[in-house]
Amino acid sequence: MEQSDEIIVKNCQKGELEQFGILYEKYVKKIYSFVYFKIQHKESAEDITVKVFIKALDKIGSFKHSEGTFQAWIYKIARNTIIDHYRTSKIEANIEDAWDLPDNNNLERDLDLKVRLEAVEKYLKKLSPEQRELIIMRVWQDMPYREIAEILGKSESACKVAYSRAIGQLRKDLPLTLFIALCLLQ
Amino acid sequence: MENALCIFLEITVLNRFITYNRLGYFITKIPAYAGMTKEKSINLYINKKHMNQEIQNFLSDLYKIDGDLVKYEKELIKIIENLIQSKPDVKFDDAFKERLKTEIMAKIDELKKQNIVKTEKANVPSIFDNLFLNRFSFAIGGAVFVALIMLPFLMDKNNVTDNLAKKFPAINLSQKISKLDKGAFGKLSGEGAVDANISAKGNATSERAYGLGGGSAGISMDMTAKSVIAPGGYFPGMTNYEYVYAGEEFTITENEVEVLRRLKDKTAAKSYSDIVKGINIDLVNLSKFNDTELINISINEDREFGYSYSLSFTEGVSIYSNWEKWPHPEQSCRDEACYTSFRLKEGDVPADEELIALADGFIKEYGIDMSHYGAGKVQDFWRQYTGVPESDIYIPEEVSVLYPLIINGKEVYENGGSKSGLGININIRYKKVSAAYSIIAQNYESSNYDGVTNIDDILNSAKKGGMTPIYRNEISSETVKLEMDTPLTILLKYYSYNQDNGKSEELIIPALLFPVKNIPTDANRNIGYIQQNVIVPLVKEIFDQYQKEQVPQPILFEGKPVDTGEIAPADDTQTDAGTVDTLTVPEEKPTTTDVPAETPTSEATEPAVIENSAPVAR
Repeated sequence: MEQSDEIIVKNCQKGELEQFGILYEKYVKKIYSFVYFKIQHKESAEDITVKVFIKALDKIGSFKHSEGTFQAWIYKIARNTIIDHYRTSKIEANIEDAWDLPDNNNLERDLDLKVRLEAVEKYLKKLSPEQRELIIMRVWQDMPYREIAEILGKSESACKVAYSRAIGQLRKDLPLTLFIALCLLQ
Repeated sequence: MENALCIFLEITVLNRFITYNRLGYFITKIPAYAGMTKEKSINLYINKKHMNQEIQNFLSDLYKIDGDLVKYEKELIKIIENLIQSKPDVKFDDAFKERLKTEIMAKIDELKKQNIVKTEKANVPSIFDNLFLNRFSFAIGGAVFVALIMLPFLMDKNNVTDNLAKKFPAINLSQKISKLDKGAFGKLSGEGAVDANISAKGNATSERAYGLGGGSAGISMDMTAKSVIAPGGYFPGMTNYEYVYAGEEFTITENEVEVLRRLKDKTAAKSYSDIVKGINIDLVNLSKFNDTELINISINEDREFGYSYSLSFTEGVSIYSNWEKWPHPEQSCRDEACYTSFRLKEGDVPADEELIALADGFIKEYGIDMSHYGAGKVQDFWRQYTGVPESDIYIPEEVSVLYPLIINGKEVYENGGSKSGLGININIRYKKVSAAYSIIAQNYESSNYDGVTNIDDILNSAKKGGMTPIYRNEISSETVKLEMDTPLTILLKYYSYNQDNGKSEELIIPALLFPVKNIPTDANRNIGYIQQNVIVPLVKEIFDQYQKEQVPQPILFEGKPVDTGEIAPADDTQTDAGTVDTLTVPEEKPTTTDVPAETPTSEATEPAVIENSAPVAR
């Protein structure tokens, strides 16, 4: 799979930019989802996804295979674009995703999502952005640790440890009764 | 109610699945839940089975990391399950996907049109090759070309710059001398090689005829052009000039001398021409031209008081004012009074220190490498205009500061005897640098050639005017003796044209410079006289060529008015108060009278010159 990405990227770098379309097809939903999980707002997620792919296309020539996979690279672009989104919109300083938004700020979050996440939100909020990102990628995006490690620029074992700590943190914070209640309510 | 019950059952069943699977059991039957259709039960089963596997995987990972978590299994399962169930619906919109795809493809098309793939890898040629498959407008191609060319010379290091820097060779123009064997350049003169300097003297003749002559280096074009308003006047009766040696005895011991040949490295010119091949013009298919070289490019700054620069890939850089962006208020004039109102006055000219400071500032700002140039000196030829009422003195729009070129510790001279170097023009009206010229590539090869050692031969050549022989008119009524001081060794720019291959080469050769001690100061004679210095080459081959082939050039004028539209200031004239005695003799038999020697005032005898031009061995 990654070999395939590597060849496609090399072809793009040789001038066969049409092949970027293959990468687009492969990653557009993953990137959009990743952005959405962090942004929690459809229109904003779409805008950011546009920026991510345009940036990736614009900078494809500077991509170096020796420094990681294309997937890791485009996720990094996505993460940075999300941070830029919050910085430029000046909603709040120093936030990296919607989980860091104050509770009273619902302007940029889809209402239905807020309802859906209401039960776990305050616990996920307690996690660091990186821990949340781990959970997003591991649980919601079903990514293997190897890919997560590439994207986060960490070793696979470090990601596993971080993930277990995040889950352990949730276990401590999330009362069992609440889970039962959640289950019963759904 | 039915849903709530189903979910409750899901959880129960799920927990059992997990337990069974952990124990190695396999579920072979699809459970049917109370109150559900068979189809719904199947879907739920599949979903739960999938979730089960997911949860199993998560748990497995967690236990590998922290075995103690096993005791919290029930909680963990709920947490993970809850997280999975809370997974937001991302609302991925296929319409959005298609919309973005269209945008991406448009961007791809745009990038290919602009021929830009910002890469740090050496893939530029292939991208350029692709351009031949497409037809793009000249404007886009030109814009890309300009962008690609300009960027390497800007301060910012962006991707394109890095890209070009890696793909294309740097244009190294700094001074470098490579030593070759003796005679490596072949013939320097004679058959196959023609002294281009002699040919140039055809022009020199006309220069001389109008009083410009040697020492013109560093004079801005404006100064020359504006000389049309300099007063003309009548040239006197014909005067002959005769050089006499009045210096000390000297000897030359070196049998061989070093000749430098300036290289014009075409590596960069060839590489950068690939960029031009990438421009697809709908008028001509440029890709059909083979083995191309990019000779030069010109770039304009589109701003007030902007500059233009011309980059020669083999020669160097010239910077000049972008005419359209500099104000020219006199252009609106339609009468003499108006033009006169814009004429500069002597008081408008800044002091030399200020002019040099302006030039130095420009050099610093634009990062011009001055490691092989001497200190700047204002070229104030216009001040030396003699015999003209002060009100008629033309104050040039621009004044030059010349930084003499230094090679091997010696200043380099032009063929006419003036210093060669890098010039900075300063616009007097606006107190701004308006041009920088002769920022030349200085990559040389060096080879030894036989030298001239016979002093008598050298002096005989000098007495005839050296490389600019004087013409003796038999009908002249008077002769002026010009005394030459003890010579200095200098380096001289010398152009050699090879008729066989049609190429001209720029050489740097050693030569002797004889300062003329008693430059005529009389206005009329001054116009007719040219040289401040007499130059004699020390390369035997070139020396012999001059002795054999050089035709003396007339420096006398018939007694008729000179077209004032062509008069140029005698930039090499002197203002010294030295007197020149002359003796009028009958036409048939001219005689001469010795001219008293005055303290030399030429540049060549100034301390700076002495530092770099050592006197010859005694």
